Amino acid sequence: MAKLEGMDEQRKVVNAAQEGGALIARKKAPWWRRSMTLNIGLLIILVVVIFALFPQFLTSYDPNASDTTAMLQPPSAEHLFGTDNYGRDVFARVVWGTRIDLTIGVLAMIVPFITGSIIGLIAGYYGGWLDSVLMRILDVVMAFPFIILVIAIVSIMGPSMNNLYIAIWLVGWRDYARLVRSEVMVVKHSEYVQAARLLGYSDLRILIRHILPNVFSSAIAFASSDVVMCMLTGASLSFLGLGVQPPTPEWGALIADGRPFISQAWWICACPGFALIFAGTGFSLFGDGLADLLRTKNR
Amino acid sequence: MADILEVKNLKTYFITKEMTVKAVDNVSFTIRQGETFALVGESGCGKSATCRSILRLIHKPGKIVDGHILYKGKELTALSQKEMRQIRGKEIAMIFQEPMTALNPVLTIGEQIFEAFGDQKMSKKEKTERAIELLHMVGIPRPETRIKEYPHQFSGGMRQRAMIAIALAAKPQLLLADEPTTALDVTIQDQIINLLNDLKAKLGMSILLITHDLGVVAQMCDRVAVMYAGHVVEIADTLTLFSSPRHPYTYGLLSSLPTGHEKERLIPIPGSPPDLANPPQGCPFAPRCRFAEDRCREELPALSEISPDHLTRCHFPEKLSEVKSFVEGGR
Amino acid sequence: MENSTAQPLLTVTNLKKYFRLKRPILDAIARKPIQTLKAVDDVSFSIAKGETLGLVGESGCGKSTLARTIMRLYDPDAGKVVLNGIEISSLKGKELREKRRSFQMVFQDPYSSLNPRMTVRDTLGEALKVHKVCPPEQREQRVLKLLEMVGMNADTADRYPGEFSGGQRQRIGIARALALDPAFIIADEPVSALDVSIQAQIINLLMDLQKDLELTMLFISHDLRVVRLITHRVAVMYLGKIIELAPTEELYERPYHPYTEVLLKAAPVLDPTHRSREYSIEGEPPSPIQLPTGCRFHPRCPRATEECKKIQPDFAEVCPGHWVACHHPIQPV
Repeated sequence: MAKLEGMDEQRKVVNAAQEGGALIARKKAPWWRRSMTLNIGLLIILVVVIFALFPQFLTSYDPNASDTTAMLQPPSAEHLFGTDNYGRDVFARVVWGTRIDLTIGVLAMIVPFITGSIIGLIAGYYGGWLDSVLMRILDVVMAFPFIILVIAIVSIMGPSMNNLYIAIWLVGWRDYARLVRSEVMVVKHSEYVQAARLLGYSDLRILIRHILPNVFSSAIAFASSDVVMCMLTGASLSFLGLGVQPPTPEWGALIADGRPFISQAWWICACPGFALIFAGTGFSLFGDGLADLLRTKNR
Repeated sequence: MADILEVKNLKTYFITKEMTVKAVDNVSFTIRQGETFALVGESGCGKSATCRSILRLIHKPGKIVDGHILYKGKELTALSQKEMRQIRGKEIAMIFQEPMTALNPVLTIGEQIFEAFGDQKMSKKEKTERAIELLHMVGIPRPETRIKEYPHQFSGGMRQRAMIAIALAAKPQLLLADEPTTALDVTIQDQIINLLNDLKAKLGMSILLITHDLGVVAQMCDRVAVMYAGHVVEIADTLTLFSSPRHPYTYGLLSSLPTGHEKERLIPIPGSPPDLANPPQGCPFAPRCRFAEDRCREELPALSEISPDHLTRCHFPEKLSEVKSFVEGGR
Repeated sequence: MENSTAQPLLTVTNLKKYFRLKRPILDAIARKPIQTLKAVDDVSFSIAKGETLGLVGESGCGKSTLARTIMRLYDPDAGKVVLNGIEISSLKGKELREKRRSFQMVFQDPYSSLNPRMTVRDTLGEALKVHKVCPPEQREQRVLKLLEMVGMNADTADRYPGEFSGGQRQRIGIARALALDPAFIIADEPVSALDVSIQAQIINLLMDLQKDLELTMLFISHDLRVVRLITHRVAVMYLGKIIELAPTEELYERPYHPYTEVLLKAAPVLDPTHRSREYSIEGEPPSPIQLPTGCRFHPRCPRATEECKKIQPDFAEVCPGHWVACHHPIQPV
């Protein structure tokens, strides 16, 4: 470093004045001002989360208490979403079900998100035979529609919540792996990754510090939309009797319960259906908004 | 010489919710019949936006806000899109920096030339003959076979030649060339410069050259407009511009280039160009100008004539009357 | 320059880097041979301590591949690279990673050469941390010193690359390359992505650093005027081979190889009173996959003879320090 001391004082000042001082001043609007989609999505998610955390404050009814004096009652001031064939309050069941559906959505998303991203990172960065093997496995999983494969796995292992999770975990990683891999393939050729190699950093450091932060945004954006997919899958399987077992209030199961009475009491099916649409819309909007935001932030 | 194109007080802005970028701000110049006119400047100075405005190829959020573009006295800004299509390609043609993105990869070069003939009444045989003649004229060897090839079968320099052939197919009066040599190697750049010079002489057309390379300007152009931050800051004939620049930016650009002889430190322009969304008050060059006074920081100078055909947008052009000429500077 | 006679710091001997191209499946069935792209083909040169060697040539001539092979971003197929007595071309794994601090590179594109998610402080500090260049408590001071050295203000340390202009980013790229106090650096087209008015700033910076730090540098550029300004000797590359190498002024004033002369003539002269009207060279460089026989330049060369088509010319010293590979050089030998 001693050599640096010798640098001509005057010239240093000149250099600093030349360019180093002036930053590109670009006023950016704060993030919440930039995407309406994101804001609406966030608002809906907030409502859903409040429902999931504090169901007891939102309804005084017990979701599993049957009342034979009030069966199949249409929506009214007393029973906001009406009652079902056992006289249970549908609003209470929908509200208490929020927690279960949200848990399914998030838990089923999170494991494939992590494993898929790691697989994508490794396959994309190292390439070669490892990549070929991983990608052929991916092709096989990709060959089947998501829901069919999940149903098949649950059918083999037997219907239960745990098996539902395992089935989604076994299938869900594929989208993350593909997404992350394709981004890694681009980023690993960028000059800053080459510079990192040149500085003698270990592969692990390069992957975690230099590649991951730059490929992660699209995976995160996809994950928030994927919550919807997982919720729908959970609800679909429960509807088919392969997931959550009655009498646990889960939206898909609620719809299945109301199916025989659809001509007399539409509210038993429709209300949990709307809840699903509402939550799903929230997460999709949030995912889209997030993708936009992260894209512009990269610029 | 008659004017073929006159641009008067052109303003092209890019307007979004968050900001307004004045990409082209009050730009005026004329191109005379048969001359090569250059718009020179750094990236983001508005030279490309000006060029695209002439052909009305500005897309949202960009918009021509104000000004006139007169082609042979005809107001282009008032034309409908349909009438504009009669001008584009036929009267005014354009060539781009990156021929690979400007050529259609699924059509042969021949088909793309046929397309450019438009609705001229010609038999297939005449078209083929004319296309071969065009490819020959732009210096593509074996045009009879190459006419049936696709753009990816051409090398970079040949692609640029093919694009020039397509642009010339409808015998345009004015050729807009947007950085036509920037993506090419020096030896190929040299060939394309010579080709454009020859074609201009042979066909008598006018060329508007967009470039950042003053060397290319010196080799090709009759007159030059220098652009900075959306404004034209100086217009002169090439020799005058190189021998007696009267805008500090022009002078700065010329003196920042290595001459090739002396092993001395260069004389750069300090700082960097302003953010067009947030331009400084007064003269946009004032923050980087070593001659700037208070007046420069307050009031935008007008583009005024200091000698016949030599215009500059500077309050104090006389401050530069002592500086050296760059004509002998080159090798 | 007397540097060429001094003890070389970096010696490159017979370096080769070939890329095997993917063969379409039909070609494999038809048993067509795998095609190879000879990006760097038997290149030798040396650089003395404190010397700057220029490397010029057109795109696709292999100059960037040569840089990346010396830097061990690619593994060489043959040949040796010796830096300060250590053969860096054969190092592997951890040993290579540790030795990397003695050779660094400044990249061409300032927009892609900095990690957009790391602040300037992190970018520079990380290298110091990984190589344990200084005790952690001195790291901060050293980062600021590096910034000052490249003409950046200390208050820019916490900014992200997106907040800087191209020239400023390139300054940070230079600071990163110098952070580990390398013995040798390669600057790969360091100004060609920058605007004209900024180019001069960066060239000045490099010239200052060259002098102050006694940098040993391989300076790659296609801009011959810049190369003349900043280098002591120049090597001209054509289709994977060095065809001429000489002290800078001598090469510019008395080129021996016809291709060098063409390159020198082709650059547009900054003088509207000197316009060249004749084509200086026909054609374009052939594909590096199907190389011409004999001298690789012969299909474009105005002086080519039968001999040139058949026999590859030797790279020979025509006068002290001036090497050229040509059967019919322009100057009398």
